[in-house]
Amino acid sequence: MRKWLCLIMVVVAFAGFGQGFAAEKPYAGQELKISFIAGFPTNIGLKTLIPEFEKETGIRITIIETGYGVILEKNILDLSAQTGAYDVLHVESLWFPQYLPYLYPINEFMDDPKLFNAAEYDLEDLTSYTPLTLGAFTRDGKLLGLPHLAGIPLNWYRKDLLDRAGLQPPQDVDEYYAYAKKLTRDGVYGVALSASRSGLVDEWLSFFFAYGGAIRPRAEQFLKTTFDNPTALKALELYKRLFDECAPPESLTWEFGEVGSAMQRGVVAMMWNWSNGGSWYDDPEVSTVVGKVGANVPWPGRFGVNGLCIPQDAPNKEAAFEFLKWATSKDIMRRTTLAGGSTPCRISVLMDPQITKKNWWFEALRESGRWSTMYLEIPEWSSMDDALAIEFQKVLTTGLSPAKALRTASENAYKILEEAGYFE
Amino acid sequence: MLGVAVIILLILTIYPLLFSLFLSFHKWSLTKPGPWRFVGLKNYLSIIQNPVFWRIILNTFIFTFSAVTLQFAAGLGLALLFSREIKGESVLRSLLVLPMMIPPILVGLLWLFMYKKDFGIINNMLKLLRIEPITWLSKPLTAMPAVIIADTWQWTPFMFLLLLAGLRSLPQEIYESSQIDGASFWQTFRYVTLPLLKPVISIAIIIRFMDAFRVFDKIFQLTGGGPGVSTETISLYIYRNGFRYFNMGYASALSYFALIIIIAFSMIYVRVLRRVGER
Repeated sequence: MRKWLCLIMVVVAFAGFGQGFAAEKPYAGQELKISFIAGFPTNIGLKTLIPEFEKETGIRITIIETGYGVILEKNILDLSAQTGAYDVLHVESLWFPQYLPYLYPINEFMDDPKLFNAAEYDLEDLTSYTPLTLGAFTRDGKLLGLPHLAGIPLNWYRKDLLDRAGLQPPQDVDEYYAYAKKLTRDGVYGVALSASRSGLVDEWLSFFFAYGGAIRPRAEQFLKTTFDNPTALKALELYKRLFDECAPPESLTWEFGEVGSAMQRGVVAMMWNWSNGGSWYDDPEVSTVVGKVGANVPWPGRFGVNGLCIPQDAPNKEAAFEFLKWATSKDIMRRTTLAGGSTPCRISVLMDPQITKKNWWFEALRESGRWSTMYLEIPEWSSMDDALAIEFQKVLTTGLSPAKALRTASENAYKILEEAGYFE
Repeated sequence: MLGVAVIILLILTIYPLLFSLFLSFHKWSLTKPGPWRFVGLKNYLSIIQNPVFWRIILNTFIFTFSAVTLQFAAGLGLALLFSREIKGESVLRSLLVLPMMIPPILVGLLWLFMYKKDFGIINNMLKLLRIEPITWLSKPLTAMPAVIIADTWQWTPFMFLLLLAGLRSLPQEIYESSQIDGASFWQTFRYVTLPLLKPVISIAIIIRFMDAFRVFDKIFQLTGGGPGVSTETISLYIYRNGFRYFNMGYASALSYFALIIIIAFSMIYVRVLRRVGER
């Protein structure tokens, strides 16, 4: 009888311990499949910290990295087939409208004090950098992701070459062109351009905004003259002059990686390029210009923010939210940046003295957050971008007049929106 | 057993074909909520009215005809060279067919580096010959030839193998007779070799034509269809509409358009061959 009583007590004790353990680690044993865009320095930093998350929560993490050029179609095909392949998606804000029908709103998790400690998480630390950090992932009052890394283009320049020419960093677009012309000599080009079909419009739009151009926020407000006006023409003419007179001819096939590589190789004096690659120029293993590069913000750039989102068909949504919260928390974002990530979106991390000592471009990045902007956030933006890029490349390669290119491009962009039903 | 095979064929081949035909009469975007909407022939009309589409069709034919012609000429030349006994033939033949073994996407990557202006091997060789380096992929005039060269490098061995097999199967007595009759190399080639090789040539050309018409990987890697649309081909355009813009209905209609064009070409080709054969 005593033996049986002892056995029952042991079983009850284990059951109690198990329950307590389960309460501490409610998602233990679950697996999260996370889709990451390959190559971002921030992801590299985050991956080093994942074992810590696994130990703390008992959740097993499987990361599936896919190249930037193909991840969108891979993910959308999986999501449309509702395969439940992913629990967490790494979503670039430019693609957010295309992912939108497949994302799960996280408001219910954030409103639950058992799941989300608002004071500890500190949303203001994100929004005080720029409201776009959360705005990019919000639709009709629903929050559909948490910002994970941010990037804004900056003007990167060779301090030594500008000093030699007696120049200060350019403060506007016209100075950018004038300095680029002056610095194109002795085998060095004044600027590098990402004039490829996938990068050109993004870059041109910076000049368009710099000259005072604007795009209205709603697609229904788009006009045939939105891109066919004197400001747009001025920006395109400037782009052509930069390409013809100051940039390497092979810029026509470059995206931001190749542009950054041109700076690393020391063949260009300035470039308008994303802040994600900030650490590349000081890496002695890959850069010939260590310590020679500076950055400033002469005009507004596009705010590029990547977020972590939960798909509608994710099998483990609450566990996924745990990961989202953790990966975008103050502590982890700081440690990820220290581990090599280069584009945090929390103001506290951007101002951290230990981090800003090494990541000197954070001062420019902080400033750029104040006046960066986002474009039309609609699924049709990719096809509109392409329609513009096709005509703009003709300006660079076949001598098509910028005015005619803008007229054709604007008509084609308008037609895309018309066919999509925005003007009905 | 036959029933199972038919079912598998229906599921894997017929059903996807019929479904994509059905889709081509609908508007359906993977990135907008809502079911597909019947639009009749609107997708097909949009294609016909799109000047970019016709430019892309022209690009596809330029690429296909140029690449297949070059591959045929080079393949035939190599096959004639190898039709006689040469020392180290098996080693040389193995080296020659290596490009065919490389996946097309890697061939695109390989040639992308070879064409680089600053450190590509081709421009370095031009520099040695005191020729100004060329930005091969940045100019419409050179981008298409650059892609054709990369494709020719990869698929000439295919032509070579087929034509060599054809040459080696020709009866030797006819050649001995032509030698006795005092025919020159060119006369033998023109009046003996070519006519006898015609069936093999027809097959080789039609196979390569259909493959080249569908080219995607190399162009995707080398130029992405640029500069502008100067190297964009129909496969890349269908891919862009289906998997970048996610307009599935329009992409399906484009696929059927491409199918109609290739069927039409094949029918014309077979008719021309038959007429030449009758003559």
